[in-house]
Amino acid sequence: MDAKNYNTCVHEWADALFRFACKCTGNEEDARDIVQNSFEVLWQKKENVTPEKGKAFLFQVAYNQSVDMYRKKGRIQYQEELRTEASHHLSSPDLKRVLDRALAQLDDQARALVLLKDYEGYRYEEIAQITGLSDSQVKVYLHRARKTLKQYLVSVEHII
Amino acid sequence: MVTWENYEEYMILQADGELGEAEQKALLEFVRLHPELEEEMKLYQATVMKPDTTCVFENKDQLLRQEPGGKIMTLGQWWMYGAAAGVIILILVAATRWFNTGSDTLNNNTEVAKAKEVNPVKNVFDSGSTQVQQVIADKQQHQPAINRPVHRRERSSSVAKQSVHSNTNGFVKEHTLPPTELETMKPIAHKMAVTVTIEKAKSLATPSLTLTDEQPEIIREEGKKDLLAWLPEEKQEGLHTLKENFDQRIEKAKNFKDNLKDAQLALKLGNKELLVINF
Repeated sequence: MDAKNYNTCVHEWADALFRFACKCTGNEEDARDIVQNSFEVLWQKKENVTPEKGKAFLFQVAYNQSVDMYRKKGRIQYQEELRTEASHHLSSPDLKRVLDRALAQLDDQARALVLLKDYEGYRYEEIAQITGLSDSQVKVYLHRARKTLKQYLVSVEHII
Repeated sequence: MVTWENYEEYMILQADGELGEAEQKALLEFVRLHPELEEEMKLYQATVMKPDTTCVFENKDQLLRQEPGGKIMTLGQWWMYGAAAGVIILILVAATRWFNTGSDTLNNNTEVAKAKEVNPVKNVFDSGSTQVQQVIADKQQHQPAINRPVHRRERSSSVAKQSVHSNTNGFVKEHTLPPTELETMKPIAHKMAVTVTIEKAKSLATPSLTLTDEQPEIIREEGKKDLLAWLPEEKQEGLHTLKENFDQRIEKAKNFKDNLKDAQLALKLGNKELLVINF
């Protein structure tokens, strides 16, 4: 990979990487640090990375850094918002906020797997390469995460 | 095959987008047969998160890199430098062509001036004789076409008039004589044409009459005096004027080279100097 391919990766994947890091860390400043560090590592190792593998390499570095950051800072906390109105059915903005809270309830690894699956559309095998897990492990962890998210939605609906 | 034991796994795979077409149809058929499972399937589909495209990384330029020793140039800068290079090339081509054309014109003028000074005797026979005209025409065929002098003679019964004009491309002379004089001068002109032809050959072969830069100045001046003595005074004046014009041209050409040495060609865009060429 040369400088031109590297700069192409910046233009194509910087935003997606930032969104992933934001959801993993729950903090924009930490997410910016993760993005900058990820591209720094890519630049240092650009000789060993092909342009086709650039995206996967970036997300792998960002995933490892978000897990390390989670372990240092502890469980992330989203700011709770009080609602004055009650609604029987969840609307889209409400659903988004509920899902964000549900995502915060997951552990760092499960959260990263859900984001890689839903945000970037990676398949089980690709997620396994990024996270260093096996295919079966990825499948099991994702299934558990989906069940947790679904049960959280059900519980919120019952409360509301 | 979807059963009560594995329908939830199928629903999760459907939310993950990992179900094949056949498995998708089987699940939909199972839910159709058991409508109470439809709400649960929708809840699993609602757990799929969608990226917020409004969340972007600002100041991506901070992440860009360049190769060591290189420079990142935007498309606008490339266009500007390419246009400047094209203009410089056009200027150089135009200057080269103009300079070469000026040199060719100067060479042609000097050749014509030398030919006139070597054989001025032909102008004595501008009396309307056809044979003299033929001799002159033969001489003219060997001169460059650009600055070939044009001789026109008109016969009229009026008083003979003549005028001499000199310009940069040639000169035109008009010389008219009464018909009677023309008749008497024809045999004389015929004899003298032959004499001119012989003497012309001698003059070309005789180094003393050849006006070159290598001849001593005194011999050249003496040769000029002998030849000019054949001519009438008016014609001598015309030749002097022509000679002065040619000398001026030659002087200008010599100075051009000197001026060009000190010249400077600069290309500017606005207040910024892009290129400076010192000759």
